Amino acid sequence: MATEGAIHEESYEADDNLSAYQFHFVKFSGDRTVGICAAVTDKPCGILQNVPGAAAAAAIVMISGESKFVSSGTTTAGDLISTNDDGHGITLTPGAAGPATDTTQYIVGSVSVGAHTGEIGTANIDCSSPRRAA
Amino acid sequence: MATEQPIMDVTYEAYTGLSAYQFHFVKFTSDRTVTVCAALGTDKPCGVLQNAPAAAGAAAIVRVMGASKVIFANTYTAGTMISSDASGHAITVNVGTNTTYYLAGQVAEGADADELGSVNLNCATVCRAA
Repeated sequence: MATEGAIHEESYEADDNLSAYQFHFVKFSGDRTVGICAAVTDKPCGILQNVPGAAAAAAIVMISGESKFVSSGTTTAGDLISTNDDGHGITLTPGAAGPATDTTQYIVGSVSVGAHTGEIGTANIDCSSPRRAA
Repeated sequence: MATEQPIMDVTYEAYTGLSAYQFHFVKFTSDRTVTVCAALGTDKPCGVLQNAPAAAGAAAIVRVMGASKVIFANTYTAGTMISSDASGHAITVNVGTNTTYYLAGQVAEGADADELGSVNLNCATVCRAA
């Protein structure tokens, strides 16, 4: 069962209708404005907690804490994660050169409850200072 | 005097009896289940065990972020970057040399071997010391 516990949440503005992206990784697209992560090398600023239905609607973003996330591929407890090109959580292998070169991706969390593709998992995240998986 | 400041504590299940491992680094073994780190530097710590769960399935309180007491493997001073050794003790990391080790925190208050020191932790995003 995926669970949550926020340490740091902020309310930003959505840069578009993000109603289909609850529990996806988001990034800054302007001052206090967020959009969905769209590249594996994006620097997530957090995970979207609500479903803003239009541009400029309030987007509640968990920056650090225990959050649900939508999994890309199978994620397992203990995996380090980043975002894929659709805001889903994806496993990283630091130092490895995979289909995407992991060393250029940003570690933003550690999985505590794993999930399969498209399912909801849980991760301990801290997106305040993402670091590359070198 | 080793001190503490919780920012993020989470309760998981102990994989086995961990009553001898209070203030040791732990890692995930499966969903919401933890055990003591058992590899030198290369296990990914999810936090430091705060209590002493006596049996498998018992509540294991894990500090993921914040200041925590930790058992030191050797003598370390404030400012030392640390990881876990093969016994869940804090061990120094030489950034740029121990490139496969995972950084878990920085010593705030030093201690000698097998004593309790204080460490500022962030085990949500452990990264390698490359």
